[in-house]
Amino acid sequence: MAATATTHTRPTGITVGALILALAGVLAPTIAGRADAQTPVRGGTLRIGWIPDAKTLDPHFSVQFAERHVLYLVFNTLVGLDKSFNVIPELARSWQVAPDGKRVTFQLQRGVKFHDGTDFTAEVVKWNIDRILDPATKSPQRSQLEPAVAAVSVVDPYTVAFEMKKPFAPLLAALAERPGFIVSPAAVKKWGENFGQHPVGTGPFRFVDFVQDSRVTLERFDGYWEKGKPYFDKVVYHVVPDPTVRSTMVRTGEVDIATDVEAKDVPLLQADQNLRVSEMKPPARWTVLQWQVDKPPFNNKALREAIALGINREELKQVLLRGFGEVARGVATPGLWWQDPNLKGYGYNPELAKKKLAEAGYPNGFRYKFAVENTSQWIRQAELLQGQLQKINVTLDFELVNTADAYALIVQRKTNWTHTRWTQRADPHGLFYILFHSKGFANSTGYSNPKVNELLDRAAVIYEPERRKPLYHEAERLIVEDAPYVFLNYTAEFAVMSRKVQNWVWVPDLIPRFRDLWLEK
Amino acid sequence: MRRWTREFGSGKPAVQVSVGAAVIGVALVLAAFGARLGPYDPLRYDPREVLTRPSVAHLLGTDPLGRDVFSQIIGGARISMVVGIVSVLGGLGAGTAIGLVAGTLRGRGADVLMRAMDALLVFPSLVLALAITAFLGVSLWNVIGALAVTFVPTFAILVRGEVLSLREREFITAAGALGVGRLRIMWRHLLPNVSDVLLVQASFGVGTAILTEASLSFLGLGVPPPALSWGRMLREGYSYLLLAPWISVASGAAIFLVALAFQMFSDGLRDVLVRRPGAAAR
Repeated sequence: MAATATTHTRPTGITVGALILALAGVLAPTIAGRADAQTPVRGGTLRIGWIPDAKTLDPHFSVQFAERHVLYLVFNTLVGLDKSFNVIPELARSWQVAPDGKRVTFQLQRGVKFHDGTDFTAEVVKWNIDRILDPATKSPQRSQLEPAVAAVSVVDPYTVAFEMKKPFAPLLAALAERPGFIVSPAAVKKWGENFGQHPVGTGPFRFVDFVQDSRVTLERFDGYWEKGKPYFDKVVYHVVPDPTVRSTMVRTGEVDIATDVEAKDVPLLQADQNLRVSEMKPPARWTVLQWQVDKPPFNNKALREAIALGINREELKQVLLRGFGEVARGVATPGLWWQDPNLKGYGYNPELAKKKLAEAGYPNGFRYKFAVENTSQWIRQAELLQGQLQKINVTLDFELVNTADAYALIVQRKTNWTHTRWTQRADPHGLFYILFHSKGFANSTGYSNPKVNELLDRAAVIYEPERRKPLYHEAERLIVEDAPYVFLNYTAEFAVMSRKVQNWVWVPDLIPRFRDLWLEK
Repeated sequence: MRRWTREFGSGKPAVQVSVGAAVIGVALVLAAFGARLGPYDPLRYDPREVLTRPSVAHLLGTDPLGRDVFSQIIGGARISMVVGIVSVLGGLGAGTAIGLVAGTLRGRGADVLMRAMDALLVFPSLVLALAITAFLGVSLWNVIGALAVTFVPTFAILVRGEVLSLREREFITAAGALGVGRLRIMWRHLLPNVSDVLLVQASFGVGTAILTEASLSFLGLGVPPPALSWGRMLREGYSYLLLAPWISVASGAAIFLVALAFQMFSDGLRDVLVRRPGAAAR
C-alpha cells in the first residue's frame, strides 16, 4: 500500500498519468463506459430467476427461504447486516445496551414512510413486536423473541426500548432477520389474514402483485427514505424451479440474474463471456442427513455413528459439487467467528462403520425408508449415498416427497430419515438454539441433551463474543458426536448474472440483496 | 434387400408385423434377463468416470454418478415392458368384462356403466395417470394401476361395440334359444369373436403405456429409484443436456424404438387380422 502511495509523488507517475489521459481521449467511448459503471444507473427492470416455494410475503409468518428474497425489498429490518455479518443501522439509527444487559434502546430514523403513506414511529415498532409476541398471532418467529423479550416500550416517538427478561446477546441479529421486519400496522388491519398477499412495508420497492408459483412484481417506491435509492423502476421475480433452467435463462437473456445455480453448470456458465458467475466464499450452507433420535430405530447411537462413518464426504463433494465447497464437520461454516478450527467431525471409516453396525444390533445389515425430495439434484445425492452406504450393508428405500412439502413433513415429524440443508444466521444462537436446544422451534430430530441446553442458555446471555465462543465450541462437539444430524458438505453457492448487473455482494445468510443492485445501460 | 425396403415402405402388413415383433422380442429378452446382459452393473457408480463421453469402455457414455448408460438402458427395459404389458393386461381384463356385460345386458344398468366409461375416457390418459399417482404416491404398482385404469374405458367401449353387433347374429340367438346361459355365451361365443380386435388394441396399448410411463417418470411420478426407468434417465439427462447429451439421446431413442415397434406391430396386425376380406364381411 505504502509503495503505491509514493509512486504518485514521483515525476514518472505524473508522466504515466498524462499518458493515460491521452489514451483516454483515443479510447473515449470505452473509458467513458467504464466511468459510468462507477456510479449507479437509475432505471430499468431487474428480472430475477427465482427459486420456488414462496407462500406468504408477511415476514412474521414466513418460513420459506424463497420468501426472504422478496422481503428485503418490500420491507426494512430494524437493524441490518453487512457482508461480514456485522449488525449495522437500518430503521434504527443507533442503539445502546444497558449495563445489566436487560434493556436495549433504539433511536429510530425520522421521516420514514410506509408505502401506504403512514408514518414509521416507535409505536409501530412496539406494535410489530407485540404482534409477533402475541400467542394468538401464531407467528413462527415468536420463539426467537419470546424467551428473552418481556415487553417493548415507547420512550418517545422516535425512541423505543426492549425490556428483557434476561440479557440476550442474539437479540440484534434476530432483529436483522425475520423477527425484525417492520410491517405497516394500518395495512395489516386492512388486509387481515391476506396481508401476506398484499404486503406493505417501508422498503425501497412497493408491492404490485404476487401470483403464487409464478411471479412477484415490485416497483420503485418514490418516497423511500434512503436518498437516491433504489435504482430500478421495477423488479420482477419469475419462479423457475429447475436450477439448470434458471441458469440457462440468464444465458439466453430471459432473466438478468439467478441464484441457487448448480455446481455442475458452473464451468459452462463461466465460459460465457456475457455472464458473471459469483461464488460465495467461504461456503455458508450445509447439507445434512437427519433422523428422529428419540425413537427407534435411530435412538440407537451406534447405528447413527455407523452411518455417519460410512459416508465418504470427499467423494460427495467431488461428484455432486464437482469439487466446489468443503467437506462438512459441524454446525458452523468456515469464516464465522464461532467456528471451531479444531473440530474434527466424522471421517470416512467403513471398517469401523461395520463394527458399529454390528454393535448396534444389525450384524446382517440395516434397511430403512429414506425420504428424498423429488428433484434430480437430491435424487442424485441420495443415489450416491445409497451406493456408499451399501458398502457397509445399509440399504436406503427411497420415498419421494414433493420439495414444497419436504420441510413441513420434517417439522410435523412425518419423515424420520431424510436430508436437509440450512443457511447461516448472523448469531451462533440462531441455528444452535433452533435446531439443537430441546426447546428450539426447528428441533425436528427430538434431540435433547441437558448439557447442550445448558451451554446454549449460558452462551445466549453473554454479550462478549470471545466469552461465548468456547461455550459454542463445546456444544458443537457434543452435537456432532451425538449425531442428531450427519453433516455432509458445506456447499458452494453460485449466482449467475448478466455482466450488466452491478454491485452484487454475498451476505453469509445467502439471501440475495437485490435491492442494492443496478443495471448498466 | 431392396425388395424388403420396398415392401416395408409400402407398409406391407407382414413386414410391419415382423419388424415390430423383432424389436419387441429383443426388448422382451432384455426385460427377462435384465441388467445381467449389460457390460456393467447399472447401479455401480464410479466417481472417477463421471460424465465420460461414449467410448469403447462405455458405449453410451456415463451419467453424473459415473454409471454406465448402456447398462442402464438395458436394465431399464424391464420396467418399461413390465409396466406396459401388466397395465394393458389389467385394463384389458377389466375393460373386456365390463364391455361384455354392458353389451349383453339391456337396460339402464348397461347405460350407467357405459356413461361411466365415457366419463373416464374424456380425461386425457396422461392427466388421469398423473392424478392417480400424485394422489396415491409413487410406486411400481401405483403406476401400473394408474395406467390400467386409463385403459379400461377403451377396451370396454371396443368390446361392447363388437358385442352389440354380434348379439343380433344367428349363432348367438341360436345359442340363446337352445338355453345356453349368459355367462357361457359371453365366454364361449362372444369372447373368441372379439379376440382379434382385442389383440390389436392391446399391442397398440402397450406402446402407449410405455410412452405414458416414460412421461410419468419424466415428471417425477414414475417408478421411484433405484429401479431403472428410461423416462427417469431422460429427465436426469435433461438437466445435463448441454454437458452430456448422450444420456437423454440414448434413453429417448430407447423409448422411441420400443413405442414405435408396438405401433408397427399393432398396425400390421390390424391389417392382417381385422381388415382381412372375410373379417370385413363379418
